[in-house]
Amino acid sequence: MSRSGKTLTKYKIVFLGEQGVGKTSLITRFMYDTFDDHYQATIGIDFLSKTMYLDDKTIRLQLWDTAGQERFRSLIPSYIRDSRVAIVVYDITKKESFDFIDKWINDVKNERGEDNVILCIVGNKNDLTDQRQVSIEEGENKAKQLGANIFMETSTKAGYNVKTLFKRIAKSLPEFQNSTSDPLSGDSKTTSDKNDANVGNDKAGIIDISTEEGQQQSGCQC
Amino acid sequence: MDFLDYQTFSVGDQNNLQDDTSLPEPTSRLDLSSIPTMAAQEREFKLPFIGAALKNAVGNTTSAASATSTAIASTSSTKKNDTTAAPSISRNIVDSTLYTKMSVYATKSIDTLTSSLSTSSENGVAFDNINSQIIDDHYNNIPLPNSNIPDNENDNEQKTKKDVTNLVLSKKLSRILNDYSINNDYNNTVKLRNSLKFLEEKKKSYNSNSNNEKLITPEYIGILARKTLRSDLENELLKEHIIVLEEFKPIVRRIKRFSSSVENISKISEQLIDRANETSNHGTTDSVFNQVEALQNQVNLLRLKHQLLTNIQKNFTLTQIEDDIIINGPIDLEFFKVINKVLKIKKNATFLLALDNMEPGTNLINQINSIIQIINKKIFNFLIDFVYDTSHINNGTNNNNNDNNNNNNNNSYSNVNDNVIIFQKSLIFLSNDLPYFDEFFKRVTSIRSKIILDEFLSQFELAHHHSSSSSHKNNSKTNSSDLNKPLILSAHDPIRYIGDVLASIHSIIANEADFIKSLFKFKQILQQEEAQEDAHNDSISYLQDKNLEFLTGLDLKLLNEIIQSLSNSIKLRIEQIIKFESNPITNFEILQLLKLYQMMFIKKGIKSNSSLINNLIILQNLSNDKIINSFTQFIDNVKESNQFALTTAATTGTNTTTTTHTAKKNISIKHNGNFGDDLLPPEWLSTYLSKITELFEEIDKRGTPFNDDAHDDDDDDTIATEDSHDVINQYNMERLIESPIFDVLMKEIKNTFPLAKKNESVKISLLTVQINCFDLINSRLQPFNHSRMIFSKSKNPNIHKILDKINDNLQQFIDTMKELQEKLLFEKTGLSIYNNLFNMIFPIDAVQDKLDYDMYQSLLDNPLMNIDTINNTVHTKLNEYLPNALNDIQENLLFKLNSPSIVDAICDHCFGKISLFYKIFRDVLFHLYANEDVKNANEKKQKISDILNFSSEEFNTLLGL
Repeated sequence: MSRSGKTLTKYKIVFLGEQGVGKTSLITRFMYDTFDDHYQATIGIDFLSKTMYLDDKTIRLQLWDTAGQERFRSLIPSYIRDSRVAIVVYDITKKESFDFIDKWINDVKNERGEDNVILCIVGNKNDLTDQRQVSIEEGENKAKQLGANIFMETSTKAGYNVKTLFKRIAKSLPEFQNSTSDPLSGDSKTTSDKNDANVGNDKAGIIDISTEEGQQQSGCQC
Repeated sequence: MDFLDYQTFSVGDQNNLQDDTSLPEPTSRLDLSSIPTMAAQEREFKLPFIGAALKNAVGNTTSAASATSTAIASTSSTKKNDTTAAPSISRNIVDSTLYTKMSVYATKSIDTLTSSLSTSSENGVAFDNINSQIIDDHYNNIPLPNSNIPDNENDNEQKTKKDVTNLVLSKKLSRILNDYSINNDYNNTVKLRNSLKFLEEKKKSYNSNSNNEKLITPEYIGILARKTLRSDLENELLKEHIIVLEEFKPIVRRIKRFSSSVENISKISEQLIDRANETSNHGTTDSVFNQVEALQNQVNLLRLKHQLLTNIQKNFTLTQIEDDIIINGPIDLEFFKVINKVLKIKKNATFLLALDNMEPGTNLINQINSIIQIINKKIFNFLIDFVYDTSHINNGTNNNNNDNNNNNNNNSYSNVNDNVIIFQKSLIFLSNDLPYFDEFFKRVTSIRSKIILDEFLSQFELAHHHSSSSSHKNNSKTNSSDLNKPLILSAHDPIRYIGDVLASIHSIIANEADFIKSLFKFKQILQQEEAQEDAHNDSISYLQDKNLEFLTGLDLKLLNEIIQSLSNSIKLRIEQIIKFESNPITNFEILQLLKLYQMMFIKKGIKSNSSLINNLIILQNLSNDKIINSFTQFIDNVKESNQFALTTAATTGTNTTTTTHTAKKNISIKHNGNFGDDLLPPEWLSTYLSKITELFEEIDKRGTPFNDDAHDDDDDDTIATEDSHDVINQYNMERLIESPIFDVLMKEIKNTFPLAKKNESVKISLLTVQINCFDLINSRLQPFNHSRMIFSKSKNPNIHKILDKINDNLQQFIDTMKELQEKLLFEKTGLSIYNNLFNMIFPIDAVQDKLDYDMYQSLLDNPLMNIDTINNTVHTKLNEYLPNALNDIQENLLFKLNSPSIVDAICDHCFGKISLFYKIFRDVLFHLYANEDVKNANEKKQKISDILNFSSEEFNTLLGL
């Protein structure tokens, strides 16, 4: 439910990636701001939803957590089919998971087309720097090469960049694109994020991953 | 009335009086500062100089007298100021009456006169002046009415007359002053002062006109002057009175105005008094008092009654505003306050039932019940409207979710959140009225069911998507919805179709659960209600204890009810696919999908016994059956085909009873035809095994149970509980494995080789086919021997038995084949009869060393053991067959066995047996005939060596051992 007088739109976000890269952890960190060291494989597809208040707008994110195991792969296209955002997660300490990004992005494009989905590539486990196998540059290049809208490294264990990721995703959604064109909104901040917001349509390429202070302060009240 | 009062409250400005109706209020003229004012007047005030006037009248006084008196006064005042007692005296003078002052003045004058007389005796010059002064003082200061005037013998007669006159006047003045002293107040003082002033003015005028003497002349002129003076005085007095009366005028007018009312009052009071007198006269005073008391009691009772009724009204009735709120008001927090009051009234009404007269309580309860009924209806309508409105908003958003068909992201949830609490409160209240509550839930279920069903079905409408897409193109709006694919069944990918259908259901369930929880999850409001109840123990809450439990799981109950509407649609759509899907692997994948989604749906709150899950189970069973049926169908076809072949063969055989041996052979070949000349397993078996192993591979690969605790630990010895919905269970495996092999295949083999029991070659063929078939089966199924999902002994012991049975049968066939081949080998080498003979005496296998050869000593008596007989029986056959034995067995007899290992095993067994026997037979013969004489022994040994011309090594070599 939204706050009074606000609009509420639901957006479907699907999390993709190899087994054990931290898709569920990413969602758990975002939802509950917790991290569980105990690994438990996701069975099938899991669903969670969360309302975000950002820039005086309210949106509801439906998070579809897919299983990384091979035996559940056949289910995933059905969920990509109607998702507005696809977050492909890889483990920066496992090169193999990074190499599979192409396949996942390809699956998304097959289902949603080139321009009708906000593609995010997320390098998780950023805290394990001593075991890093994939550099940030490699990730950025891959994101650029695959036409991803957002690239970001996160650490679900340390809680690094998780909220920022979702804020950036939210800013890229049409809800916030529209607000920039609304002369009555008077929201200068959304204008500054216009580049981010437009990437869904014009394949603007890589978004600057540096977190603006304004965004940090905008305060995700989720 | 007292003069002073009238003067004090006289009208301030009489000129302002316009009429009687607008009379000015009396203005107080009583100045509180009158005392100091009066003191100032007193200071200015001088008593009329009567002495001087008298002196003037007698012509013996001077104006100095007044100066002297003034001097005395000033002296006295000076003295007052000089002496320490002066302030107190002065104060006394001020505070005291005029009489007192006059007394003081007289006393002082006498004192002064006395002192002057004593001084004048010494100084005669100033005596006259002083005397005159004394006299003046004396005249002026005779205040005492009873004072004794000193009798001066030295005064002349005129003086005596004057004294008499003065005495008379002083007495008169004293009387006046005495009267004054009686009415000693301010007004009298002023009046007196004015009078004296007037007299003084008159005196001056008479003095100026030199008429003063006229007054005292006894003549007519004197009389006239005195009359004139009198007249003046009277005029002046009249003026004074007129002035006073003028002041009375408004007061009188006012009195007149009130006079009628006062008269009325007076009359009434008189009447009352008269009546009272009358009643008192009649002696009814007591009864009046009693009546008054009774009336007072009645008043008290009425007061109590009023209070009681007020409280009753407060506690048992609703105000008009509250009535209006119930009937016309919106449902908001105020409305719920009224509801609480209604419930409180209802609760209080129950107390009324305890009264002797239950009617008020009953009536009130009935009335309140009717109000509650109105409230329930109103709340019911409100809830329905709310759900309808909210559903449409939510549905729009859901469409956006699933169709993304426009920029309807602006679908508003306005005010929804604000009203959710009201909605939940309403629902909680309505839960007290079960019929309405049930009806509401039916309506909600109906509304939501229709919405989600429409949403689900719309995904299959191509036209809808096309129109949606084209409309968006027309609007030149790029939206992802344009590319949102409808759910289309692809001929080559039914799994994807079913997956999409189930995924869309999953999405709908997730959305619906989200929506339902937002409206029907009462956790927060229940906590609030409980907190309120704790805070106000006496407050009545519409939330009853029995409702709490009921309301707690309401969201899930409702979700299940709503989702039920999808169950049949899902079933129909998936059932079509399953029914037309013949591939067991695809069916198995469908089955897996169905199982997985069952798990996921249950995880989202769908009950395991709900129609949706039941339908999925039905579909799962259907899929399962399809898998099993695809195999059983195959087997049935094989059966039919075999039956047909058998029937055909029998018919052909009957018709050719007289045919030649060649014809029989043909029939036999034709029978072998199912297995071919090569005695290979039938084709159907290979196909069947390929299919079933493919399924097993799929099961082995994907068949891990879909639960969180599943893991691939083979060490887990827990026996898997058989699930009737699973492909792999004992019943299915008996149908899929045991029956086709032991019923169909074995029967077919037996039917194919009916003469196997009579004809060894046929039997060999039979065994060969059996071994080939079972070897094939075993080789295909053996990989799954340890499969956790299929033949694992620890997990599925009953299923593992089937595999054991196959193995046992194979081994049995091999053993039979070994025996048969062994027998044939012995027969072909001519050793068969001796093998039997030897084994009858002592088993060859039991022979351990040469000492055991003696066991066969008895054989010497047997004619078969004759050297020549042995030679005839064995030598030729042995020499003819042995060199070819290996080839013969391997190429002819066992050539058709597919498994080289089995062939090897049989060969090894047979050759080993014959080799062992040959060695023992040869040795036993040598041993038996070695006991004869030397010549015979050598001769016989030579013969034996000739007959059994192969040494053991040579024999083994020839057999390839």
